[in-house]
Amino acid sequence: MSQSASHDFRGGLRLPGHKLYGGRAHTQMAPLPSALRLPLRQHQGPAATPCVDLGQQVLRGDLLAAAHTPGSVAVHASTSGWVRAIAAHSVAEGGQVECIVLEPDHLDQTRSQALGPCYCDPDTTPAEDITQRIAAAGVVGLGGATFPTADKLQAGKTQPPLEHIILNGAECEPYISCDGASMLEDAAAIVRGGQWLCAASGAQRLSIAVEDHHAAAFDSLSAALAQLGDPRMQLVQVPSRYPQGGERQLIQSLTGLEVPLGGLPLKLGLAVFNVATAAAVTQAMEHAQPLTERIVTVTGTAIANPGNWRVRLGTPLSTLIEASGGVLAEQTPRLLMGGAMMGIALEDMDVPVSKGFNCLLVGPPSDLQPTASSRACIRCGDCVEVCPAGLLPQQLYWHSQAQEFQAAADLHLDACIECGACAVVCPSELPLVQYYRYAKAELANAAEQRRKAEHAKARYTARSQRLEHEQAQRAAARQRKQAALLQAQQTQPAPRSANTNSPAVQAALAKARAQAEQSAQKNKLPPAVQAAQERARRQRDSSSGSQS
Amino acid sequence: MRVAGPWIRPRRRVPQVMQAVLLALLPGLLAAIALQGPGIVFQLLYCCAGAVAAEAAIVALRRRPLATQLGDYSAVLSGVLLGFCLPPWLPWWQALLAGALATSIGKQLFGGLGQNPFNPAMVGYVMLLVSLPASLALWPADTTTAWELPWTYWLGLGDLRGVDSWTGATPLDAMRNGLRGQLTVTEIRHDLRTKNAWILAAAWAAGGFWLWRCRIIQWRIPLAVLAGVALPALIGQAIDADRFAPMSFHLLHGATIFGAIFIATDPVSASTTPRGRLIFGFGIGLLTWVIRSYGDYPDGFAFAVLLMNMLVPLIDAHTVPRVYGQERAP
Repeated sequence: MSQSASHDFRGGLRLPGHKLYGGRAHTQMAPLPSALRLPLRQHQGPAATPCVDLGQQVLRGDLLAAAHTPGSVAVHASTSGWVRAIAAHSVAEGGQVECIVLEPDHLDQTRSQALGPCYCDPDTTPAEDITQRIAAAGVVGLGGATFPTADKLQAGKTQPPLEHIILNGAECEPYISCDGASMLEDAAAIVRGGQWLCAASGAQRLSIAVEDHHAAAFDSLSAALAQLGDPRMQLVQVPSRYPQGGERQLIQSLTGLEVPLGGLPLKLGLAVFNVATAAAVTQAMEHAQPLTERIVTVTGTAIANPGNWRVRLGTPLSTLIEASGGVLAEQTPRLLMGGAMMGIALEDMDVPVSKGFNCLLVGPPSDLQPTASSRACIRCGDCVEVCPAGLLPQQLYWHSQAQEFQAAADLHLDACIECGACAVVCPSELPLVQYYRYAKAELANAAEQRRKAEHAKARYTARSQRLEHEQAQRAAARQRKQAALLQAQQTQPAPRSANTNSPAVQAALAKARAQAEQSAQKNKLPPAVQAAQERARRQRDSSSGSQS
Repeated sequence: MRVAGPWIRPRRRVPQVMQAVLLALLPGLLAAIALQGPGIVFQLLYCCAGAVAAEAAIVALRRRPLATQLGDYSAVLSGVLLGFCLPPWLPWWQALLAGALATSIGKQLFGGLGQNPFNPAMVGYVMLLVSLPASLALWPADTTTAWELPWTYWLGLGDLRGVDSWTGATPLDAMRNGLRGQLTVTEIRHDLRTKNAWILAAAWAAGGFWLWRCRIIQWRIPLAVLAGVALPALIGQAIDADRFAPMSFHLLHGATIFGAIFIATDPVSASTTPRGRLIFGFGIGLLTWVIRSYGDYPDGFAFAVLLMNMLVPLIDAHTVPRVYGQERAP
């Protein structure tokens, strides 16, 4: 049933976890704000299309925006209330996205069976129904990647078939503990969700990975698995080392296999889902409720009461900060979405909690300070020791700095998962991840330019060919016409005016010739004037020629 | 505004790394003072002074921030490592010069920290060696002699022309001259006293072990250097034990252990890939053995290091490790 991981991933380093344990680990319900802002795009893909009117009253679980475009994900109401506006608002990931503004009526009524009938048996429900229900529920990867879960399952139906599902409970990044809370409280839902995922994909094996520092989560999941008694499922303990929770590293730890460069885990018949995603799948299948809330960790040295909260999607961060007792630091704190390694800095306290928002890290600027000044690289090689992808971060840095992006690409820059382990061990405090993001962006730009140039070239070639073709057609048509005319002339009798040897025609021609000679003699000009006229005529011809 | 992480500060920065290495040299320093007299302390001071002064002058010329550049302790470390290679009674201006050359030509000429292809301490030592070979060939005969020296010699103010009565051959000198003089190895080793060498070797090894535990240095380069010296020595010993010094001799005497732990592991001038480091270290050891056995200099470690430094870009280019997901070589 449960065991230790049989393999290990390369590199990595132990980091202080700063996790919430004991009482603090358990979740509290976050209060409802005065307005919820639900972004129409909470993942990497096209936005959903709104399907409600302004002023419409909705219950929790009602569809607010439908996923009409392939790759988009549905958005549902997180609580009961009225649709007040559909407007652009800043979001955590940066930029502005259209959001549906929902004013809660604070009655918090839920539409029962919002998505349809409740299913109860994974083994008897057809796989298509499960996938459709997951799509309708708007379930995405809740580990942060927010990839649409239904799309992942659909992709798994190609060759090779999906054989082994891994539920990722290895929360390796410092400060984040929302998955830990989920494993403590929703263990039954997680393991049921695993069964639904297996049924949807046809997988015959399921592993749940937990880091070895989290004994309580391990026990909780063990109990849930024992109760379920599914022989396909097993619980695996993995070493607490960053970045154990990275998809590729977890696969290597559990199976010893490596995802091929540039490929997906599907190529190995594997798929990795976050534990919270599995719980959301159970919610969608067994309670017919879409994804409307998630667990968010609010922590950091500048927050009064760190804790895990169950938050309705669309809640602004200011509500969470207030609920956590407010900020301790006198000066403006630094807000991060995510953990201390891969977190993204937030400027606005008003951004809404979206499906991918796992942790709000609040610290005084001095605490969460990236390096102020870096020295030269001393080629110590510490970065090579910790890189989980087996890269040479130091060489990538030298090439990125020298703007030799192709050299960096040749050293497999695209295999970098931007985990930041190299930057944390660098004694020269180099901003390595920034350099790699810069190099990757430049390479992507260059690739885009090349693609556009190829496209333009293809269009130009097609146009030239088309014009040539048209010209050839016209020439052929002209020839055919001439041939037809010639043929017509030969077959038809000659008209009267064609005879140039008749005396009447000769007399007329002689008269015209005499008239021309007379006018020429009358208009005879001196040679100089004639020469001048010639010159003028030639000039006129040449100027008119150049104009034309 | 910076958007992405990581937001954690590194556990150790460059000044701390350099200071850790300086700390690790302490046992060796104490042993060296006990065995060679207190003159060694002043050699270290003069070399450091020369190194830091030269670096300060060039950094000021380049209009870089002085405190940051000097504050990484790398010039101090280069000076100290260089000082250990010099005889304890070397004239002060020669030590100063060596330190200055080490930092200016060995490091700043190439662009400062992280840019030098050659080991700065070895550059300084080699420049001194080829310019003033006589000074560097004179070493005290034994511990008693070293402590009997007048105090002017400890301070580096003594005249080297008057030290004949205190000079003795180092073990490597004795081995080389003996083999040239057609003596067998057994006969040469009969007259050698190795106690001093054992004490020094143990002191250096203690410091090295502590550095390895602190993860300041990795095991690859030091072990590869020792293997590079040991393997050809073993082969030579097997071929003709009378004409080739044994493996234990090569490992114990000279700069082998000190160099393997502190000199060859200079990160800037060494190879950076894991496999490359093994090749780099082994090459240093091998060249050291070759120069000692067939060359004119008693201890070829410095030249071996400089020669392998030259090969580092080539080694690095051919030892790129396999990336996650890349197909294994068949």
